[in-house]
Amino acid sequence: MIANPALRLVEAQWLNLVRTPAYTLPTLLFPVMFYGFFGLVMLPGQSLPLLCTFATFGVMGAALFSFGVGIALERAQGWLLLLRASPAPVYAVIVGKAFGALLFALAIVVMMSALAGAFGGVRLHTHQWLALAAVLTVGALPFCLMGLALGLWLEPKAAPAVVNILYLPLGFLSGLWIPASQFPPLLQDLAGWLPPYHLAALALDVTGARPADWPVALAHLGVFTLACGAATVIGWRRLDGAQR
Amino acid sequence: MTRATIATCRQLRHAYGPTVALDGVDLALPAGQVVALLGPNGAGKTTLIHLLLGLLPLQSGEIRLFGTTTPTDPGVRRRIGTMLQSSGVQGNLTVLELLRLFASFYGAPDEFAALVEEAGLQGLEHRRFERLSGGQQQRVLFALAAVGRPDWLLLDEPTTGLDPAARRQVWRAIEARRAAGASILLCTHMMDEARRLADHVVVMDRGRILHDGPLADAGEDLEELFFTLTEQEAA
Repeated sequence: MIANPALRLVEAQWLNLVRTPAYTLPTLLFPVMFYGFFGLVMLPGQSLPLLCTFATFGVMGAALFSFGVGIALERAQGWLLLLRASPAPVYAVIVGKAFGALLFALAIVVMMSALAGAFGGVRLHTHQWLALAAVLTVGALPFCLMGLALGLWLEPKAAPAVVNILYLPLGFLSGLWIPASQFPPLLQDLAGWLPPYHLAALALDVTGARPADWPVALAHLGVFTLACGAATVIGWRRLDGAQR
Repeated sequence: MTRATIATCRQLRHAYGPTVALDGVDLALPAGQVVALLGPNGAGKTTLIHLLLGLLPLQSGEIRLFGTTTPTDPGVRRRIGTMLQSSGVQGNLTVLELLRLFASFYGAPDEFAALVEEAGLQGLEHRRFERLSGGQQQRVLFALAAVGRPDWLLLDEPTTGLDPAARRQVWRAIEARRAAGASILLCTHMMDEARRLADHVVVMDRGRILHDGPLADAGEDLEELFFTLTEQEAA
């Protein structure tokens, strides 16, 4: 019998995902379908770079929606309050939730990679496929924190709309749909400040599609992670003050 | 002679902006007893429970739980079982999966078979929470509160919305816990429930304690006492 609370919460999250296919399947298929249209049908010569950028878009969405919308809804329904009143450690609650988001991230990368290999002519060495999956799965963590912060700060009813408002422009402006090099100069400069741009840069690098400046990319993602972590801690404390 | 207490509150004040929810609450909750916390909607009962659980920041006053002033301490939390008004329980988990989840939060959880029987959930162990009736769901929530064999059970309106048979089942479970030595804070609107279960009665309204004493001191007609006190407070 599993006695560790984090593992039990991971198990609960897993059961929740497999028992709600109406949520799970569209969430997984949406970014994969997006890649199919753009990366395979409309721009077949760009299958590899678009695999990297659309997979970044997919894992970012999984993290933002799983945490941002998920936590906001759990706050509204009382589940988070019940967990906070219990002896469940805070880390266990977050680990349980992160498991779902990272599993989604990995599944999206695997499905997109399979599509790219089967229909886009993308050929990579095994270590490159593995590196792509690892970079994007680990790279989902900062966005999990961003989602968590949003979920703690936003009104539950507002969460889905706000997450969408952030997610789609962030994806576009980071050059995940159209390469940032094709943007006007001002937007190109802006892209360089956005975290998804840097995560995609790492994915492009490990697949050999385009070299990245790793220290710069990691510094951007590190600062972003710290900022989201701080917003999460403040949001968690604020929850105590706002709860009626 | 000093009476053993589970929790004491001294001069608790709490406000949400301009709205005062608790206004100088002094309270000592005796150990080993069922304390019924009575009050109309908006009396401050839930705010008091949330403060006791450390779910709200302490604005003014002092709370001591099991001799400490840190209700969020994991050691303190493991001694408390909570049944809140809204649970938002993940409906696609089965009764047994929920019990296993909550048991993992505690060091020495209860035997599931005994707990299932105590809560009247026999035969429902493998049914998903969302497919249970309202009364069955309330009993699952009671079982989740009790699974850690807590010294103190906080039950916020545990029988609201239940039919008479389901209420009696919850009452029997509460009585069994008291018989096993647990202390219980029972927040309720129902006078018959307080009359049947409570050893001690606290009446509050508008954030203030209007009555605090043994059930025997409340007189024969608890409802009469409740309305007299709350109407006086309103006047």
